[in-house]
Amino acid sequence: MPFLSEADQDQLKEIFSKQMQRSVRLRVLSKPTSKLYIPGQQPCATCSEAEPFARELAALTDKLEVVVHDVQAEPLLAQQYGTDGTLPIILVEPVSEEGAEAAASETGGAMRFVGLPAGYEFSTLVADIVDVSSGTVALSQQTQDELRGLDQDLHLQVFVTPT
Amino acid sequence: MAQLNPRITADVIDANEFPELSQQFNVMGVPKTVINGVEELVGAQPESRVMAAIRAALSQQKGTDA
Repeated sequence: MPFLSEADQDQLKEIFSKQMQRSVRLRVLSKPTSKLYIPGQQPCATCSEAEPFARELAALTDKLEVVVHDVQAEPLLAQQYGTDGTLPIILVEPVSEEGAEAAASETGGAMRFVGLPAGYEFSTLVADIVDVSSGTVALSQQTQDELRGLDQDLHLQVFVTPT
Repeated sequence: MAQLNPRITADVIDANEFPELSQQFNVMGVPKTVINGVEELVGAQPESRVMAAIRAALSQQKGTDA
């Protein structure tokens, strides 16, 4: 069963076609669901939904691509994005013109969603896809300049509840 | 913000799905923003307040690095 109703799909198609400029990559880090119970190892609650969810979104526009990683096969990647595979991670990344790996300095960083961004977080995911695609930043020029010039790591954690 | 500089990482965390993390940072209200694990902001704050908290967090870190 699809995640999105036909009406939602139509609305998203319109949003993506009107507001997206650059291509955006949804990078899904998940763990295949195992039928085997392994003591001490947490199964991934929503991993099996993460890939079809991302692919369903990508089907709505030609500017969205999906890359899926198995965190068990790529432990370094899992470490880089801080996941133990108990929840899927979806990264929203800009894709450079050449189609090669985007140089972060010119296109900016990625947004990361831990767990399936369904429900309340879905609108944030759509907004992030559009923002990454269009390069829209709702911050004052002064703030943008200051943040661009940062030479230290800055980690923002925003706690929300889906209501 | 994370779009501007690759050194900036932004996480949106469902407080209900991560009770331990929420407890660690004593999340009583949402949205709550934790900056580098040291500075905290509750609610929607004006840009100037957010930047002030970011500066405070970064200078604390510089202090511990030195």
